[in-house]
Amino acid sequence: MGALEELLKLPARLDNPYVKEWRENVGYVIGYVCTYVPEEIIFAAGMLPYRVEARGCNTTELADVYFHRFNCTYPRCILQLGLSGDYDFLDGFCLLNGCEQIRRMYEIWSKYVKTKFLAMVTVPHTITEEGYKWYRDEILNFKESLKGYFAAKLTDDDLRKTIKVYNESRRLIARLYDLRKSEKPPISGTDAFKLITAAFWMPRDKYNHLLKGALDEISQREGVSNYRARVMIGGSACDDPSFIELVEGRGGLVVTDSLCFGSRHFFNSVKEESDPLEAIAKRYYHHNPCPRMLKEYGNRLQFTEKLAKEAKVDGIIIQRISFCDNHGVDSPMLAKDLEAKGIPVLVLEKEYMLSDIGRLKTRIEAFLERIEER
Amino acid sequence: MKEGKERELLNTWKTTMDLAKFVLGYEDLTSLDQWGGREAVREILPDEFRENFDMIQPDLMDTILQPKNRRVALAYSDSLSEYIEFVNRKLDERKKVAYYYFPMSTEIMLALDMLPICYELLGGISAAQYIHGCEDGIDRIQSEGYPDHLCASQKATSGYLLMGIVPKPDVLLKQAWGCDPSNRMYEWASVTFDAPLITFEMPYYYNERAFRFLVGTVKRMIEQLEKISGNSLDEEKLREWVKIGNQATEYLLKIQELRKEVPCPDPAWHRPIDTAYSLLIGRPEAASYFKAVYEDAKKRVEKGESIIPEGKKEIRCAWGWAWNAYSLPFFNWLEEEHGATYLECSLTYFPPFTGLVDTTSLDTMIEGLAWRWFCWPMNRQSMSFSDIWVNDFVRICKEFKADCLMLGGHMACKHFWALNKLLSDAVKEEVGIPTLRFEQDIYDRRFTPVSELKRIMNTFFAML
Amino acid sequence: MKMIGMGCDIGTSATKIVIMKDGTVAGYGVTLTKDKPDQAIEKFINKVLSNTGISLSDIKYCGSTGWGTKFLSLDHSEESLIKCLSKGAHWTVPTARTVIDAGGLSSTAISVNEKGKPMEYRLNDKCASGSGRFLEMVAEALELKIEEIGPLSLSAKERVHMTSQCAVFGESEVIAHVNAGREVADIVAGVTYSVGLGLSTLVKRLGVQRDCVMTGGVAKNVAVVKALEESIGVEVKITYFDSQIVGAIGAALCAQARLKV
Repeated sequence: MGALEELLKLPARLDNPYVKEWRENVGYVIGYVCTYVPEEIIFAAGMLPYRVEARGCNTTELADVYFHRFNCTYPRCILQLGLSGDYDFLDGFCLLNGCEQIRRMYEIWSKYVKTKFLAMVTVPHTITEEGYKWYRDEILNFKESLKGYFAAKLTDDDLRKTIKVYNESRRLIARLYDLRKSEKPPISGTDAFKLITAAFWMPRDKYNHLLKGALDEISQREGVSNYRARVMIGGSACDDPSFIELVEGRGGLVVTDSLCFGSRHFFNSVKEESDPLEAIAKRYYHHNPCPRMLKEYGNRLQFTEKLAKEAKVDGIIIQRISFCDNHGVDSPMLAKDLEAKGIPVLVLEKEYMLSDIGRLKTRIEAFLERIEER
Repeated sequence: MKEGKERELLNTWKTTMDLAKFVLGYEDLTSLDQWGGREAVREILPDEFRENFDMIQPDLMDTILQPKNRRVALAYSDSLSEYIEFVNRKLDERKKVAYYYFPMSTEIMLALDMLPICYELLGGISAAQYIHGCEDGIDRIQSEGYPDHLCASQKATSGYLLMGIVPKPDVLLKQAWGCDPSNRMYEWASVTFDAPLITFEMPYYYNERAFRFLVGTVKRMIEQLEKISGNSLDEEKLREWVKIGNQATEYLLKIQELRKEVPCPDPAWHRPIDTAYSLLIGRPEAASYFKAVYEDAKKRVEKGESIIPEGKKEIRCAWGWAWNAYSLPFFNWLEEEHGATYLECSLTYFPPFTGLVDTTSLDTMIEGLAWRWFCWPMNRQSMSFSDIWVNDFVRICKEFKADCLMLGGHMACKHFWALNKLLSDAVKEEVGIPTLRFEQDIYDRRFTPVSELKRIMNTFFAML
Repeated sequence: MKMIGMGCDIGTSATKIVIMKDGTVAGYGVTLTKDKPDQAIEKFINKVLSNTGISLSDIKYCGSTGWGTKFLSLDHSEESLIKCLSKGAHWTVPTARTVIDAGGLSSTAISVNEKGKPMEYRLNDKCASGSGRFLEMVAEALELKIEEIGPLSLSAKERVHMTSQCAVFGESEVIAHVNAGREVADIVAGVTYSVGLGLSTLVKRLGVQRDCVMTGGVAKNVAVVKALEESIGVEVKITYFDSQIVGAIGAALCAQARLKV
């Protein structure tokens, strides 16, 4: 199998051969949620960071015992998988007070899912000097407790080496986004998303190697030209390409995104400076934030507009999960301001799992009709 | 009456308060029927009250006229009138308007000669007093495309701001802990009305480290407020306001202790109002209100009087989420119909170690205020791990001798719903009492109408 | 002692009348709750009585529960539905500690003690999916009789996966599957499975304690019962008498208990 095919076909969780191999022969697997958890620390400690996802979850009856109908389906599906045993392969799980609903998973998970090591890293809701110090102390504590619990070796040199590896992914992924800016992007949005997100679910050094190969393969290609409109996807947590596939099924081509499983996770590199922990803390604290951060709306608007313009996008589809408050308010605000700047926006409410496809298709179709004339 | 569309909501309240005081002035009047019913009373009223009278919830009038409720109803009316007058005065003087999130008191803003208005208060009072509640505000913000699953306590005011019937903010103050719906609406308000958003928080842990962080952010807040108000924080001025705030807090903590008496001497319909006045702590109106509630309850204990009708057995309820603002008469009905008293809830419970603010120096006062906000109801239960909420309520159920746990969860409070089973399981295991779980919207009556609430209660109490 | 009494459970979907005599069910009837309930109920009571050979004057006590109790003109005591379901289920299955009632529009899970007294309950009445009415809607859409749904589900080869959490979208999902050419048996299997799963979530929220007894019209659906059983991992007992009349039995028992006082 070529590099491209391997990345595109990477299965989920324990079916993933890299995860299986790591567990059998290398070491521990540490799950995490949110873009504020410093992956480098986990990898530098000789463990595999696995960004917890809920792909393939289509029922929530176990999680429904604890969560209620007012709770967002994303943490609900993650909890469902936890309760079903799908995440028994995790040796540790690092949660974050990212949003109101995901942080409550900590309590239920700690009581009912037997993961050996549970950690919570907390981030203040604004970007300030004292907030930075707090966050840096948090990740320092996380590093120490990870080391202590698993009797792991983790030196500053290990961190420096890992930073290089992670910066390499960021560089490679940025290249992928660049390639998609052209009039004939070499790859569909669906495939691009699969390539990008594979980074979360395998050892990063191996990923870099495969991604290099995949980029070589695709840069030889003709490129996609028979599309109706160039689309950007934004909004709530989205770890699954099925929504992008739906958009592309109607003829849109997804050329960029502002998702937390996409650009927001991978842009911004760690500065390779003397104190690696500080460098990591700075990068993670200041990276492009999700709307849970207060007083960053202007930055988010700017970031979204910049990406849209660079990729020459015809319109933006912001998918927000029902009961997601952060994106629920951010999306109408962004829609209003972006429309005023001449960028069409469609705000689409959906569940985390893809359902009610008929309604989504209709709305997407109507939006594509509106923007393809431009 | 002060002119200006931005005073419209508050002026409406003022008329309602004048009307309430007018009606309460007739000491022998215990229900509207006594004078021939609603229509007949309307005819007797002076002209300027009639339109307002039509807006008021009919059963609310009857509730406040009940002998057991009159005293506090009058205190509420007096206090709210004074607050409105204060607001109008400060608007006349063109003072900077500071909209603040409810888990904090007003001393610092007052010492800086700013006008503090609680964002969440505006919808709540309207929901409690009027037939139409605060639905106009809620509908207005939702018509702009904002989701219905946001909290009505912000939705209402956001709508009012768009409608222009409340003063515009010059600055917004937000305790930025884990409540996403409120965080988002304050961000919206800041962007929409071009008002700076100042935040302070304790990031997730409930310990010394987090408290120190909080104090740091409060000091940063004060620096920014000084710039905006054009005043510097004077120690003596702050001390004056903190002393008034301490008075209110002292009464509040004493009232809490009285609620442990059997039967509970403090009527249920006070709870939403208690929350309203706690966020006004610092103002003399809050102190006089809590004084009245305390004396009212104390007298009952001394005289051995009960708030539940003769012959009914008391059912003591701990409210693990809290009340709704849209039907104060409903809470009165619980006592009258079922003997169900309301002990504490997560919007009224200050742990006893909240204490008073040390007025020795500027530093002790800032820290003391930060400490009080750290202990604030809802803030305390929501901003950290679930143990706090769960343990608080296990303790409340034991100390206050609760017979059952009421979880009337607000539909927008998602993290509560994610822990609701942990809470009821712990209470069942450690206290052995049943839980009634139901959905409601804190301000919007349309979500669970009063008739539905009563049906839910009737079913539950029949089981007990 | 020939104590003869009546229990009525007048729900939004169905009206159930039970005649109790000598400590057992002497006769009963189940009918749809109609537009003019007060007249219809009286007529139906007479019908049930005549089938049993008992006259109205023999009735010494009458308990009524459910939404339509206000329409009962006969002298009766009003009883709480939770109590009636608890008492009725406990009377038919004395080892019952968890009662799961799945009726026309709502479902309830109740934990009862050894005396049949309800201790706690959880309701699902905000949502129609998982209710009898939803199953009726699906039967109609597929041109089946409601009694056929259960057995047909059990014969399915490849159960369809239902994603909709909502009855309205659920119906359109069913139609989508029909249009996609899926087997009817597979479709109903998917529907009954999701109904069973919904009930299991409700019960788990309450906490499952043996013995579990299921009541209400939906308890007649073998596939729903099976899905529920598999999910909670505990046997679900169905009452010997028609599962729909348990509430009415309980109402009669509650009314009888008042007499003894």
